Amino acid sequence: MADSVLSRFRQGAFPRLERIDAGWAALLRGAGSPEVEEGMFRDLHTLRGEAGVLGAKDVVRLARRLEDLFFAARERGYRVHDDVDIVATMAIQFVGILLRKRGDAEQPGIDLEGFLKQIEDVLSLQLRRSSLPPAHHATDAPRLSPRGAAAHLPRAARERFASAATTVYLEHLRATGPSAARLRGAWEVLSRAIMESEAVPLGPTLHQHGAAVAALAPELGKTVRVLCDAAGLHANAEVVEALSTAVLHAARNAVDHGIETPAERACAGKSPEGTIRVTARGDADQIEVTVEDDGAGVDVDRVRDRGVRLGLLTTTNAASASREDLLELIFAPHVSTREEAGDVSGRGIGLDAVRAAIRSLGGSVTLETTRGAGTKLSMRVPQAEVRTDVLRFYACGTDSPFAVSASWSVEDGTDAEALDPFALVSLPVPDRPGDPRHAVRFRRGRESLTLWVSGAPTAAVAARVCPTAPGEPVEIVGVEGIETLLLRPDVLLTAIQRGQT
Amino acid sequence: MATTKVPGIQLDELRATAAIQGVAGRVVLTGTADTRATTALADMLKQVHAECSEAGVREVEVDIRELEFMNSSCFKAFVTWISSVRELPSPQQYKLTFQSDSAKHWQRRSLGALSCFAIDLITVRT
Repeated sequence: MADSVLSRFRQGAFPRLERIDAGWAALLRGAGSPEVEEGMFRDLHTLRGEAGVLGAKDVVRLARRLEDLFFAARERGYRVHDDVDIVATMAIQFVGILLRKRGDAEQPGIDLEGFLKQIEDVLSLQLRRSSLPPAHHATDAPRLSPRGAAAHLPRAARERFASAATTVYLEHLRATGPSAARLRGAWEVLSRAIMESEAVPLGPTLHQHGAAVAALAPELGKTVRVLCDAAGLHANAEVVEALSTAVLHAARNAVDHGIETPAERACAGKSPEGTIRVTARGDADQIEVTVEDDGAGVDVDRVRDRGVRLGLLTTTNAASASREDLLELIFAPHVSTREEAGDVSGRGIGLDAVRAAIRSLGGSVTLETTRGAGTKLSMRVPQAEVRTDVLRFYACGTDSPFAVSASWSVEDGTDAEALDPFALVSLPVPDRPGDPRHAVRFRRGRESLTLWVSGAPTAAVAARVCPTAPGEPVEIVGVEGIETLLLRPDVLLTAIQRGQT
Repeated sequence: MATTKVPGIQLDELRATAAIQGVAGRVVLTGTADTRATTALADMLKQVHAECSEAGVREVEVDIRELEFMNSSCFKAFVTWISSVRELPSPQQYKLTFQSDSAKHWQRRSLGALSCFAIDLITVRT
């Protein structure tokens, strides 16, 4: 390819990329017009076409996936998960880097395949988030908003509310008499509202998918009862959204693959009506959702045959493969025991989607199956980002708990540099002459803050019941159910230097 | 060993520090890096790159364990930084090691994508 042709292509391509970047950003923040949208798609399409003519295959491949992201976002009215925004924005940058390459020359260190896989994963989750059942499957259960379970207060707004709530909490500690009680009441209302905005109920999602799956059954010539029990569980919006994706696919698989027709069930001595149970349970560490059916169970021999036919197993491997190995195959993309894809499932994009959704949260999926008796899919995800490790300590001679993040280390301090934690947050310092106290220095890197404490700080896990921004000096956390003032030494030190405390 | 401090960021939502000691650099981000912090972050990373290039730094540790979130425009600042490192002659290129928090799901996905820009230069640790 002549350098002059390549140069002309680049001259046109970079401004196009800039317009695509600006258009994407505008559409996502709700400031894009139809003209902006049309221009963005046209620019990308043109860029891809020109790259194709010039044989820039890498650019073509990436531009095609970027188009897929844009189309998926357009279908959602550009109300997409942050992952989509980040990976699309990076993809635009990535195209720019590929354009700077000379011809098809290898550029060491660039992992296009890996990046395409990242897009694939995000796209896969986004598309599956879009695949909520149509309106006629709606039930009495509350509908999800267009953005799914993630329709909660933006983080910045939540942090501002949390900051205000924390101020009210501190004021209640300073106040006396009826004022203290009134402020305490206001704090409780505010902190509860903040917690509720952070935690999304899992029940509506499960019930919605359950009803949708039950409605699908007659179309497949089956009778199915779906029982959902979320036990009033709430979770971080991101967790609920991923579980929603996973449960949808798992339940559709159960009704399509697991549950037999009434005639088949009668032959097997079962009730004509199949049962699918969707159950969620949670504790402080994790949430477990199970989708269990009383259907035919997985035919492991058929999985073995499919594995060989799809080239995933050699005949020798297939013969020696353990039951666990074969069940693992079910989670591979494009593996289905069904010969022909049906309308509901059978394309082998069910359980791989379940696993992708759960793994995106650092969770795990296990499958138990008994031929003729049924299948149980268990999905476990960690409770995310609602707890934090802290060092708890008590102010001298009081039972008032304080804490700092466990990212700070503890060492002996000197009396001369020690400050009272009450004074640091402008609370009245209790007058306790003679109380035992010692100076403890909290250190992180070069920063250190020394406080008067009673006893040694101990490691604990705190629930972030009212998460303030990291730039705030204080946050109220719960440690073993007791309200505790979490101090941020770095912020407090800055305030001290500015003479603000 | 002398330490060079790069002017950091002190916003309500984002705090960032950067320092170079010998041939090692360290950048620490805490808080939330969103639209409000984009310009400040881009300026700081540009400055970090200039100082690292000048000092012949071999590796920069980027600690985002206490970063609650970073939006796409701030990630662009990192892509720009990575591109600047790539544009250096090979012997002068330095490595970037991201210290991340595996409990923050966005970090896992975003850093996975970011590392594809320079798998030879970027390491992600949890």
